[in-house]
Amino acid sequence: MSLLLEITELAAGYGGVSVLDGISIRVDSAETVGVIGANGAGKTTLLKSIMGFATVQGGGVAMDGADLHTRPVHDRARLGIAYVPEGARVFGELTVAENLEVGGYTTKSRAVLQERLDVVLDLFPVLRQRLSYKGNTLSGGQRQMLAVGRGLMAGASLLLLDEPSLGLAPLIVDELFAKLASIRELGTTILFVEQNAAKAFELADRVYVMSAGRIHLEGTPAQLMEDPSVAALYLGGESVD
Amino acid sequence: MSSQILINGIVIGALYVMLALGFSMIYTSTGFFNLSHGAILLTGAYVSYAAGALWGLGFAASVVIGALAATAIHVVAAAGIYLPMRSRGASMWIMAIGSLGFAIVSQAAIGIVFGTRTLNIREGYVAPVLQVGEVRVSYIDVAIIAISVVLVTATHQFLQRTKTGIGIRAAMADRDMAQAVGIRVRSLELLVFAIGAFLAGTAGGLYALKGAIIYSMGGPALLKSIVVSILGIPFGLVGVFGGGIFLGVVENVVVANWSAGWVDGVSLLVLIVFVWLTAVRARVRKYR
Amino acid sequence: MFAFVIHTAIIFTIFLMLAVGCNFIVGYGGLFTIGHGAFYALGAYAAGLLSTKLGLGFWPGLAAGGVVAAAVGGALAISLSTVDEDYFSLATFGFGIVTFTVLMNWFSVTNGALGIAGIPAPTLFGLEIESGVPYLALVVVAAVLCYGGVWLLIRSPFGRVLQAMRDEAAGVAACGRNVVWLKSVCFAIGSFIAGVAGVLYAHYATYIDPTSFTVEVSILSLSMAVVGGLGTLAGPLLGAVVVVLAPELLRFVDLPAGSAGLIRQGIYGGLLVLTLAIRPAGLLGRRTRGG
Ligand SMILES: Nc1ncnc2c1ncn2[C@@H]1O[C@H](COP(=O)(O)OP(=O)(O)O)[C@@H](O)[C@H]1O
Ligand SMILES: [Mg+2]
Repeated sequence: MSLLLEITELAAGYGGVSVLDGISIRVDSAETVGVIGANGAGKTTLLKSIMGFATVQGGGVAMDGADLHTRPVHDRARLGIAYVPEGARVFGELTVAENLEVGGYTTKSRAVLQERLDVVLDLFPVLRQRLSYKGNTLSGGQRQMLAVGRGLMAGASLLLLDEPSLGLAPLIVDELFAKLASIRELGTTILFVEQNAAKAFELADRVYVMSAGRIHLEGTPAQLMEDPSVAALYLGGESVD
Repeated sequence: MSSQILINGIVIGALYVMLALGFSMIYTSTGFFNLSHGAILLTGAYVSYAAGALWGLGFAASVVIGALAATAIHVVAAAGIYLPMRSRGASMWIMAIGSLGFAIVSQAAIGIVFGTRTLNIREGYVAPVLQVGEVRVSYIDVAIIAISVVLVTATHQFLQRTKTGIGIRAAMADRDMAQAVGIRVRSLELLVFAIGAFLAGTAGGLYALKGAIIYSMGGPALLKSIVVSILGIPFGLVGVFGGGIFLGVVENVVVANWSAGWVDGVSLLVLIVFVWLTAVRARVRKYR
Repeated sequence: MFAFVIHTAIIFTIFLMLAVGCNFIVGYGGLFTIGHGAFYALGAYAAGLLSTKLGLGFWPGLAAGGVVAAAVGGALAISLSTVDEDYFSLATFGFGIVTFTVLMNWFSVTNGALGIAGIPAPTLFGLEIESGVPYLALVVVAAVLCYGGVWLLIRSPFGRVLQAMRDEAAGVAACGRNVVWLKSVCFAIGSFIAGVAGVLYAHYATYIDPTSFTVEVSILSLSMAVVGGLGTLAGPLLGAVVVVLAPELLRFVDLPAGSAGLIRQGIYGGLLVLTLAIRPAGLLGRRTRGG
């Protein structure tokens, strides 16, 4: 397996505020990696630093061997990173079809876009019925699916997901994670962060445990579930606030 | 209200629509009130005058040259002044004041080059008039309405149908997320600025053709842009059209029944009442 | 030459008061007003009308001008309290233009474009304060009092809550403070200073007409506050020096006669752009505020 994303000793935050304190994470291609941690652990900040929305204060992020440090956000997207932010953030004023089209903004070929659109709509049939609806008319679950679909439209080599389960009813969470599992089967590399450890363990090949801006443990779900501290902290209930 | 007042209002309204569409596009995409919008109109009018009256070009060519010159100057201002200000942390009103400063500079420059007295681009030329029943409309007025409808509709179609247009709307809705899907938001903002300036510059050239070029017309033009955009923005393109025509007609009614002095006050009063009644929320991202 | 210097100093000091009031509203209260000139006009017209029509003296007129401006300002801020920030600014801008239009057209009261003439010079202990050095002393005292008042206010508990509200309105509201009331008191105080400046102008000029109260006065007030640095104490002074005094100094430079005014105007605009492009938070400001 080849190394796709490498984060080394990353310190990051917002302006002078520091949130992440020396984080190292690696993601190989075709791997699905989860990062779990409580609210405020710095999970969102981690993904924002990869995407270029946070201030990097030390260490680095490399994609396919290329250092991302000085690259503007849109360049990182063009390098093959797709970002599904916390709370989905679909373009509310744009229709579902337009949201998906914008997802493939950097792809020139109409044929390729059509192919991807078919894949996305087969994966999320609800979106097919809503193509002409505005993004802000969708339900929370549908928004999350649209955001993931928008990410897939880029044909990216790395999909970043920020708490896909956030704010969704348990049934919808199950449905969404089933879809993510099929995306994983398509060979897409995924790095996701979650508070919902149980769900994260179902989906991921490997999981990092994060708290207060640091990584504390790393392992396969099977290994981590053995760990008494993880079981106590993260598997007690649906989520830890 | 006589139909003559109505048609005069519609002609002026058609110019307001062009001004306001550009102004509101710039506002929703770059997030600041471009207070140099009146100066764009002024530049368009004076360069058209130079092209038509001094270099002897035809009306159509003059208007196009005026619009292009106004666009070029103001896109450079956006790229060189306003957007860098934002990167340095200027808030929306600080940017607005920066643009006002640029407006003052460009107006002074125009005054130095052309003088401040009223000019006429079509000295000695009387436009043919169309007589429909009691109503008289000059061909220039007809052209103004037609050009406004064509340009505004084309802009709308561009935003709705093309990939770049959808990208612009995405960036208007969520700037960060638009960057995250790979859109070069800054370039699109400059494109929007260019479109807005072109619309305002064209309105300037057409205004020059319609009548006299008045040195102080930039301020009132800015006011109309603001009023019509605010009235129109919540209701989309139809709102901008409706707002422009509404204001043009209201002004002509005010002039016909009271006096021209009340015009600006009335239109701003319309604005305040509107803002106050609806307390419209700006559907625009705030920049820190 | 000497008379010109005194005249410039008087006008400068009156504008400085506008900058101080505007900085109080925008810089400390976070209320981005673009209609400050309207309250200057209200003060001037109140004084002009009261003195010429009712024969009221300078001192009651001074109080009346300040109070009228403060009352209207406070009422405007209350009535706009539900309006979103950007639109608040626009509405104040509109208010300035509506005020100008009313001054220009409400002939029976304001005398329209003809203005109000024959506003008497103020008297103190029965002595007339002549224009010239004595009047300069009067406006300087007034400006110092306003500046000092603002200085005390921003250090008072009220001032601290006000600045907290500017930075975090929701938090202050959550602490049980009445944000609408705070905002309107702040707006009223800033408008009061503008009203007083207007009274001083009216009695100095002895003749007022609407052309002294266009939107440009509002913009100038805001420019001074912004260029100096919003929410800084010395900002208005520095801003007034840069924006009002610097272009004035060009009178001493040999400019081509026909376009001297335009060149001065261009330089004023250029200074505005340049300062804000280089230091968006103003010359003394550390961070940007407002809007
Ligand atoms: N824009 C911001 N500016 C300053 N601090 C922030 C910002 N966003 C988040 N933080 C702080 O960073 C820490 C981690 O936040 P976040 O990355 O959102 O955690 P998580 O996603 O794990 O809940 C929190 O303490 C939060 O207060
Ligand atoms: Mg988070």
